[in-house]
Amino acid sequence: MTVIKGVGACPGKACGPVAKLVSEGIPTHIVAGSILVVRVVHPYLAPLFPMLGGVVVEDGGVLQHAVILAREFRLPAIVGVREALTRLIETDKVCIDGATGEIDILPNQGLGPQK
Amino acid sequence: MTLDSAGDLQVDSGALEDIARRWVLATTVEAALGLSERIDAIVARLESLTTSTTAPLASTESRLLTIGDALSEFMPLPILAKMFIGAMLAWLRRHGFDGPLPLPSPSPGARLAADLATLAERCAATGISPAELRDRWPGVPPEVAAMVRQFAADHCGFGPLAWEAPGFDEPSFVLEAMVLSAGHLRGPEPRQEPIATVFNSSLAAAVYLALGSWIDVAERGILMVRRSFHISILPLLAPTASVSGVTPIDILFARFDEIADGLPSPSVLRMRRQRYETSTSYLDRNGIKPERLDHLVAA
Repeated sequence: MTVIKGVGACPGKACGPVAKLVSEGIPTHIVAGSILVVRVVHPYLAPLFPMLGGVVVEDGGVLQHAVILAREFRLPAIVGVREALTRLIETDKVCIDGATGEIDILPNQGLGPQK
Repeated sequence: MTLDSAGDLQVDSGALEDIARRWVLATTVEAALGLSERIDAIVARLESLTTSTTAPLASTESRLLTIGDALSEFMPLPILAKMFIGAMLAWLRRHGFDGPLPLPSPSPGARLAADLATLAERCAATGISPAELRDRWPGVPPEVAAMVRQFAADHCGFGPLAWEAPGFDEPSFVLEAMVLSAGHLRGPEPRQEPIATVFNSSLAAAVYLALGSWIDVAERGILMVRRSFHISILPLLAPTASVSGVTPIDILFARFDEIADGLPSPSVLRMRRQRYETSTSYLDRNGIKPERLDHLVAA
C-alpha cells in the first residue's frame, strides 16, 4: 500500500474512488462518495460537497475555501498534498484520514475509470 | 514576490507576516472589522449602476468611471486577504493561540449549496426531475423557468476564477449542478457550540478579530469580482460600443483607461480577441467554450 502525506485540515476518515478536477466548471464525472482531488477549491463547488467522501487539495492553506467548506459539511480534508493531481489517478481507490493527513492508496481492486 | 507559470503570486511568508503584524498594529481593529461593510458599500454602488442600461453617453462614461473607481478600491482587498490570513494565523499560533479558528458560518459557498437545495425542492414539487429540466431547458413551464432564472441572477457571482467563464449566472450551469448533486443537495451542518476562546494578550485578541474579517474578505473575493462584472460592466457594453464604433465584445478587450481616454482602433481590439480565442489551454482550463462571449453579451 502506498501512503502519501499532507496536512490534516478537517478530521474524519473516508474511503472512495479518486475524482480529479483539472478544469473549472461542473465536474460531471464525480460519483457519490468520491474523494475529490483538486489544486484549489472555489466556493461555487460547494453544492457538490454533500455528495463527496472527502477532499484532497494540493494548495497548502489551512484557511482556504476547501477547508472552510469541509468543516461546514463535516468532510475529511487534507491540504498541502504536493502534486496530488499527478500522484493520484482516477482508477485509484484511496482512504484518507483528515486528522493525520495520510492518504492510503489501496491496491488496485479492479476499479474501472470513473465516469 | 514572483508570479509563477500557473499565474499564482508567490510571496515570502516571513516578509508577509511582518507586513501583516505591522498592518494590524498600525490600524485599528475597528478598521479590520469594517472590511465587510466596506465591501458591501462597494457592491451597493455597483448595483445602483444597473438601474438603466440605455443611458446616454455622458451617463455611460460616468458609470464606467464609477465602476473603475469601485473596482480599484475593491480589487486589492481579496489579494491582501489571501496574503494576510496565513501570516496572521502563523503569528497567533506562535504566540500560543490554539483555539477555534474564526471561520465564517455559513460561508458564502455553504449558503449557495443551501439555496440550490431549496431551488431543487421547489423544482421537484412541480414534478419535473433535474435531468428532465436540464434536457428540456428552456422549454420548461414558465414558473419553473422563472425560478431558475431568478436563482441565476441572485447567484451570478459564483463561478470559476475567470470572471467570463460560465458559472451560476447561467441557468444551464445551475441545472447541471442540480443534476450532478441530485439527492445529495443540502446546506451546511448546524454550527457547533463555540468553544470559549482565551487570548494571552490584547494584541492576540485584536489579531484574531482582524483575522476573522480578512477571512470573510477572502471568502467573498472571487464572488464579488465576478458579481461586479455581471451586474455593472456587462450592461454597459452595448451602450459604450454603440458610440465607439466597435462591437460590445470588442469592449471586453479594452482596458478601463482606454475606455475613459479613447479606445484603440477596432483592429487592435480584434487582434487581442483573436489572441484570447486561440489561448486554448486557458479556455479549456476554465471551461470557456468559443461561443461564450457572444452568449454573455446577448444575455
